Amino acid sequence: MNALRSMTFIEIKQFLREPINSAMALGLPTALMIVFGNIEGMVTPDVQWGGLRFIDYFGPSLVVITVAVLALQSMPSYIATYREKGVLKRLSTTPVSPIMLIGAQLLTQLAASVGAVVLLMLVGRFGFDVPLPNHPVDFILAFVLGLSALFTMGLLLAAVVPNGRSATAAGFVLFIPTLFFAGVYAPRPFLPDFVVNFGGYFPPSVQALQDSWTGNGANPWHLVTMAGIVLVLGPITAKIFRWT
Amino acid sequence: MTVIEANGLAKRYGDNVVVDGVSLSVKEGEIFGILGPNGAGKTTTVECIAGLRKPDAGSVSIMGLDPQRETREVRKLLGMQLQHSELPEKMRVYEAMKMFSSFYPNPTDSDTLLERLGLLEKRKSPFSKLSGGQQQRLSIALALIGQPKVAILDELTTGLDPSARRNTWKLVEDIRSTGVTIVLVTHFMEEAERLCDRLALIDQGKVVAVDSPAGLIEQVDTGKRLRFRPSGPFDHRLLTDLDDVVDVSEQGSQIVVSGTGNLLQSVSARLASHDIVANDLRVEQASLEDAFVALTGRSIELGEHSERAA
Repeated sequence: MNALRSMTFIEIKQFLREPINSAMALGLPTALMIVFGNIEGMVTPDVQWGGLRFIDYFGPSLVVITVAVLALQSMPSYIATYREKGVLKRLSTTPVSPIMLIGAQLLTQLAASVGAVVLLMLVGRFGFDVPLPNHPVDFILAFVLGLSALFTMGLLLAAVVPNGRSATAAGFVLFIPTLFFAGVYAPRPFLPDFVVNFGGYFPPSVQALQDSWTGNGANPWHLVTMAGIVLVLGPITAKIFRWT
Repeated sequence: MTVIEANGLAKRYGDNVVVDGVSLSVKEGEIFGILGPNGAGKTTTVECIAGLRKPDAGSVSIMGLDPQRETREVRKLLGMQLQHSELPEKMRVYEAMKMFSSFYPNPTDSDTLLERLGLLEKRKSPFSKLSGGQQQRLSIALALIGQPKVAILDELTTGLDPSARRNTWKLVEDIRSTGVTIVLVTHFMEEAERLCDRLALIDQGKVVAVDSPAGLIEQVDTGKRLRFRPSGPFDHRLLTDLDDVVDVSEQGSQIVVSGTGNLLQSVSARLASHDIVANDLRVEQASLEDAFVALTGRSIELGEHSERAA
């Protein structure tokens, strides 16, 4: 455990040393919230957003941006670079398994995800009166499961790409649909119904976040789907992961 | 005492036989060299020994432990410096040391080790700002931080300039003097000759010979050669009728005499008795390189170049 702690500490330092990446992941959603919060039309309730203000409605999509940047861009590129540079192989010459480094990297990314979402909620709540989730337990479940599903997809990617650069490129292929189904490019009321429905089942399930934040609680099927993705892709990832 | 015992190691990838029945034994406290051209199977051999790869056949014992089954125990005893292994660009020297210290039950003091390796003033530098030699020394430091009994150093000085290379050699000798048994993988003749107590010549996945550098040279020593410029007119027959002389030839202004036994004494005595002075006299003896060529029928440098071209 001593090894995991020291590795996680160093991973967090490495993460913070990439100022553009970490600022983008940690601060972008909050920055967007601040921008929207200062636009007149976005802080007026509208039937289009179910009688809510856009800024209240859009929180879950902002959460997805953070998680997608970390799970599909940042984390796979770290892991692929570690493989490319022989860091994973070097670790396999020590008493500590290279799995530990992946664990430390995941912990770092999870901490960043939680930090970014907490920051977003605090700024929303105290800066712009955005209410906290209606169903906190559902929200935490939806967040944890959605996050796990998206990080599992990121790990699957990291398992096979040869280097950091191709990790970023391949990550983008998943990043685009993730943001699309989360209504980041076009808010979901403007999207066809089947796309909106599918958004409940595509990681990290923006619908589950939305239902627990501004609605009447998460749809269990959405949560089960996220858990299912982890259970199916997780073992595949472990099986095909290339260490060298 | 034997520290490493490998028996009949074999490893193939598809149709390509990389290691073909390698057996070695490394004694406590020695610097054991594994010398051969690139692509000879040296790295695969040591990676099988260290348990990083599973050999298709054969067995390995490191201080009585099986690296395939008792991997964790072996990892605590064995430090390994890998070829082409980097660290994250922005990781600082002291961070890498701290991280690797946390992996071992009894790590050595990191600053003392950095000082011994001449890296103490670089402890806050990120990995990407270190020179090739410094990166290599950090790599050695990370291999030694757990106080291993055995260290495997793979192509330690490849890519270093001559002075960094010499400093690294000194370092290897220092490490050995602290009682660490060292397995040194190299394709540099000079490095093997200078550092190794014993070495295994490996070619095309097979051990061709195991001996001390001097022993290997002796095995193939077919004779000695003298070169000189005679001070005056000189008739070959003056030397050809000496028992120790096999051949006399001319290369430009130089006379080249090859022979056996006390060649130098008999030739100089004969020249002296005819008042001929041997200017620029040089004695040439077989080198490790000649031994390699004689034992494998191939030049190690050729092996290297063909590898590069491939």
